[in-house]
Amino acid sequence: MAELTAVVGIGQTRHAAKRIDVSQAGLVREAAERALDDAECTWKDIDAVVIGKAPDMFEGVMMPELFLNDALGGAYKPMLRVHTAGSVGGSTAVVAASLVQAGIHERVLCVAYEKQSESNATWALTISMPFSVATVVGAGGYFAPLVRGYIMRSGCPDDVGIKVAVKDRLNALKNPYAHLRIEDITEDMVRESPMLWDPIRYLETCPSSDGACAMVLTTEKLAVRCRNPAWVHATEMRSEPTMF
Amino acid sequence: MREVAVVGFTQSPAKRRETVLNDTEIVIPMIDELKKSKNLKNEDMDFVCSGSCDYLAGAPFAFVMGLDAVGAWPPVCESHVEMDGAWAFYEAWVKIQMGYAEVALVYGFGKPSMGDLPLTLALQLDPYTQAPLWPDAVSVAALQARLCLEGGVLTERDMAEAARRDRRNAETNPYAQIKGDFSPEQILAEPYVASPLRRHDCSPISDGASAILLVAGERAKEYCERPAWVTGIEHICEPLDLNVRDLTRSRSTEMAAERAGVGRAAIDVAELAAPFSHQEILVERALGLGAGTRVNPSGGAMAGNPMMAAGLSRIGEAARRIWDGSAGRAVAHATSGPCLQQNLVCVLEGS
Repeated sequence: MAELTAVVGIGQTRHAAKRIDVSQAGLVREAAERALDDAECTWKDIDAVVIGKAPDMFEGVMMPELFLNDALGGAYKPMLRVHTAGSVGGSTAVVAASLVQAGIHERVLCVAYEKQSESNATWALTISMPFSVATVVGAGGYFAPLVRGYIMRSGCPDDVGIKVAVKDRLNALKNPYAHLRIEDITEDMVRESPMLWDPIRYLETCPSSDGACAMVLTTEKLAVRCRNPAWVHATEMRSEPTMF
Repeated sequence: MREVAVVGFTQSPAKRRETVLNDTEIVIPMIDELKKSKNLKNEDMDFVCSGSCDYLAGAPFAFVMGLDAVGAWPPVCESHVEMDGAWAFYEAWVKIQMGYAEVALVYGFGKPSMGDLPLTLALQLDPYTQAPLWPDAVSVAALQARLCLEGGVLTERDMAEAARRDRRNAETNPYAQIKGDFSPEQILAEPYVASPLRRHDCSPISDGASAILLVAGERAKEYCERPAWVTGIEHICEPLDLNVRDLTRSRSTEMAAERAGVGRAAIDVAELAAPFSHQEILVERALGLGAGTRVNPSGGAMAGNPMMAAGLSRIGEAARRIWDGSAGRAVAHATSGPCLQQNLVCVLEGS
């Protein structure tokens, strides 16, 4: 690898079901400004912008990076738009890191976001193509059969999902940016919540959120001048087929 | 920078309406052909990257099914951009530069015939102030052409000449969709589609796909007798708003060309992905091409414009001319967004 790379700034927005106080551009800018402040740099220090989100139908804008680029200080700079489905937040960071690791740019801003309140996620995930049945099941409908299959084959206890949900919601109470804040969360509360996609209950799923996260990545030379750089030692990605 | 070369290229014929194959099925033969001709297996490929667009497929995650064309078992190292395949090519080039990959497969595909493309493209505009008015892509491009005419930047005859050149060049391209010898007089006698654009000033709406193989260093010669070395590549994005940029020139192409080093030596061949005749002229000027450059020997995007593959195909068409020795130095161009908002420039050279 040519260049050692570090994350030197991060910024998140407050997450909520509806951020009607900001446009999509306002949302991504809120995260980006916080990341720049954290990295102690300004818009003009950024060499390239990487924008990640998936899928476009969650907001109803085709290739929204084209209209968001200006709000992210990307005018007359290189801009890449990453879309790798559910993994897009992570792969946006991977692409941004690559640009520094390859020695092409010194300082890259990456931002991933979703503003699901501007469209309808279940509609967006309902594929209605010729010669196929439109399932209208949302994300959980695709994953539930896999979860059920895993539970059957592995024989794992049926309260694992419940425990995970409670643990995450308790942790979220310590996170000022978290969307869901359920102060009195208990295993019973999760168990008694409505079954959405058997075996996944309402409180075992993530919420549909409006929110964005941004990072600034730099070369070793610039990173050593920053407070607590987080070094990127390695990144890896693998993809499998949807169906077997 | 590491030496990287384009060593393989396949493309489907650009078709106005592919009625039999779905978009994955258009990609499958492109990748099969490339793998077979280069005796390549999945385990030989360190990185796979594609470009496609959910709004063309009318469904989320179009690229996920597209990956079936590669065959993702055992799992593959793969990424995707919601951009023309030319930017997937750029990402693959980056992965090779950082020493992560030696051999990379890139492909792009689109089947815009499933919807109304000029109207679908209205959804690329600002969703709060512009898209609700549904300005179709041809009308938006016509505003730019009108500015160019009134600013004395070019004439309707210049546009007709550019369109004629592309369609005439396309006569020898079996993958082209619009070809023939149409005189400028014939073109200028046509009615306007969106004044001042005539039918001939517009690229066709095309379904199609293309794929490219990139290999680093000495290994490139194992795959290709005369590899097309990438000696410069850059892309620049302008703001979207039409009223904050000079639409009578392509500033982002100028900047990308400068950084990619287009002007460092003469260019034999240029392959341009501009979808309208006046835009092709703007790109040609932004690249600073002289009389010694053959522009769009394949016909360019004006002869066949499979969205999300047209830019990648320009890199392939330029590389092809390095391989056969008909060019020593070539430049390929790709574009995205309304009125040439985002542009990529890639310089290829023979050894």
